[in-house]
Amino acid sequence: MTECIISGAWSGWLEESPGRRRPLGEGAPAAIDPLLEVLCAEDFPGRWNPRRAIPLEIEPLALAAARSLERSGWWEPGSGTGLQGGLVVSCEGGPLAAVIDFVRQLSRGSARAASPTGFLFSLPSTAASVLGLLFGLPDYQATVAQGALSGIRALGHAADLLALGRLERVAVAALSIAEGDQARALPGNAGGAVRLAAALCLERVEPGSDRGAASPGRRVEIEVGAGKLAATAPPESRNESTEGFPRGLPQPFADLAAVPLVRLISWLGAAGGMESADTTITHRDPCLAEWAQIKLRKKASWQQATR
Amino acid sequence: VRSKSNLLGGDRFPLAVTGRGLVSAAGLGLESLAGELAFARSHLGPLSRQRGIGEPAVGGEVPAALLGAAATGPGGGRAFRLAALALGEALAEALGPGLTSAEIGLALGTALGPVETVEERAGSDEPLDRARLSAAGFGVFAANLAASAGLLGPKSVFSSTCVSGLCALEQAAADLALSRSRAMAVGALDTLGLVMQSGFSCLKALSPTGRLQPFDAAHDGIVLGEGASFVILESLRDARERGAKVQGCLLSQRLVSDCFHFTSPDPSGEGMARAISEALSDAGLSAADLGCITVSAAGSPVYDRMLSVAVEKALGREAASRIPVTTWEPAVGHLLAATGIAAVVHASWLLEEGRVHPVFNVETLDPECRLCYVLGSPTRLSSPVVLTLVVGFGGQNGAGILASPEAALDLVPRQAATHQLPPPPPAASRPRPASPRVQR
Repeated sequence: MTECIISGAWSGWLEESPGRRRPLGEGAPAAIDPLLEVLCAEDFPGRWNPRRAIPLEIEPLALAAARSLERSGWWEPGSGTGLQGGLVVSCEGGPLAAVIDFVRQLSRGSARAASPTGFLFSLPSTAASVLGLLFGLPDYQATVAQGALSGIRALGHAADLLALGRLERVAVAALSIAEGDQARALPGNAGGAVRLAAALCLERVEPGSDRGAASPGRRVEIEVGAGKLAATAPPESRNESTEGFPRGLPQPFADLAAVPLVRLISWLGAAGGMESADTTITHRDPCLAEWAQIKLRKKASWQQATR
Repeated sequence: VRSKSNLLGGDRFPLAVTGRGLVSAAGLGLESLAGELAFARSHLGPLSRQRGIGEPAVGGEVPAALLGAAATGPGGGRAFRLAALALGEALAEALGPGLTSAEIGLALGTALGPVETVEERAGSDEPLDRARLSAAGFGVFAANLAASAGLLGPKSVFSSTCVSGLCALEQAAADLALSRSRAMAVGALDTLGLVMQSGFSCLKALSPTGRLQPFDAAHDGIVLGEGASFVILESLRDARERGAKVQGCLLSQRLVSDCFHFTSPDPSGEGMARAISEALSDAGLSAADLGCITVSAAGSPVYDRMLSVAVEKALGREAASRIPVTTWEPAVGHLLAATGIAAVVHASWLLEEGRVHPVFNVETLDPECRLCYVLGSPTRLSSPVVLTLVVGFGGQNGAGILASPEAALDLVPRQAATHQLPPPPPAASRPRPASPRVQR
């Protein structure tokens, strides 16, 4: 298991309706905040052009990252100081809708019909680029694109880099988008996309050191594993667990890649008041018939609430 | 003393390349590209397939006859064939006594993966059906690729533009360091289709003349190619124990984001300079140890100039003016996500050859490109250590160092002392990696 400090965490979700945004999640468990805030580009220390709106597609991810980074103490809004650290983003399956939109622009037949932005947002890595431009995270940057397991894999990648001393600290962010029939499973949805975002700030600790016992953040042991859905599949192999799952989101959303990180953040909230705590979060990929899981164990005492 | 496991591959440092696969417009195999580089032949030409909106429609397409002979997989189209060909070639080199495909994992990088599946289906006005299109997802693609080659080790997929393969390499090195797999197939691919060609055209990044002229005063933009590149990585100790042919040792890699712009590099070269400095530091080397530099240079003036500034910054002007610089891209175009691993393959070939081929399509150097580009005729590789430099959209800067096995073996004692590596255990008591059946 990899020992690290989770110094900040946040998750939330947003339903997009034609012409307006409908924030949801009121009355949800403490781990889930509605995405009510309007992001102000001037608040960010990176090279993002403040005259340019933060793309709607990325906004929930940017907000989750902002909240998480702020809670970790890595970033103070408006301070203008760029952040240090790596960034690993989960983007499941690639932004299909963006690719399709871009191809449809092209099918209209001229260069004028297609926009550079349309192409850039077809690239799964653009979400990470936006976060990099906003916060100035100038170290290692990667986007994991592995379907429904992307969120867990992104966390695993980050944990590996910390464990091996390749990075001292890293932000992990996941964005999942439900569209079409999946989005319509949400009561009252008229076809607008639903976006779920989660972000965590992880810091390396040397095994055996006492760092984290008195510093902000939550010292934990993390282990990420995976396997095929077969006779050895864990019992909750159908993503049916609702523990730590945002209230109000329907069952079809349980397959989204960001969900395991949302559940992890929820566990952090619950484990804060316990002397000792551990959990296993299992997630399956319905397309791959594979599962992945996060094992978590609370270490030391936690000094600062992390939502 | 730095963290002992800061080394790429941790306790299994250094990592050996025991298999290589490359598919590009030059054909299948390293030899096909090597021949074209030696004779300064370019395979860039008019695109025969679905054209984007960009003109001129010039690029480096993989020959149709070659793809026709490739195996297909479930949901596999052009992208799958490219990947299967290159992976097959790499495995053919690496497999043998002491290593089976079941002991190997897969770390894959791609910017857009099997995007052709989406291109075909999105052309109609049918409503978006995410579930139906999920078969085009990268995870499914990688799973099918691994299954087709019998790879049972851990799988991971990264999509970080042209450095996607380097992110995959980072994970592969971690999987080896943490003993999750005996060996790792690390590869990357992208196809040159409607979205790529049109996208780069929208960005005005393509060369209007259709000529890929790196470092030349007339360089005017990128010419794209397509392809797949793979290497098989394992620890040098394991490779030597099983008697595998080692084609190079990966001593270090660093990936740094400059967070400057979506598509343009930081002209100050700070990010790339840091990547180079950290890669050298990780490997315990200095500029004096480098025999040459191979760079991804696709004809973009801003990237060519940034690389020049960055190398001078990291290595110093004197070293930068002396170390030979070359590139493979004029032969086959910019290989998109495949570039990162293609650079490793290219570096290993330079080590084998012991000489550095010239950059072609250069008539008059851009005065802002001040490095020691090899022009006209090949030059001798003065030291068996090659620095690879790869750039990607989003401000991504990758630097890696590949050395001959002999050079790496010389370095191991020094690194072992610095990083507190354990001495190699005797063969009989050497712990075996965990079973690859349980994936990470």
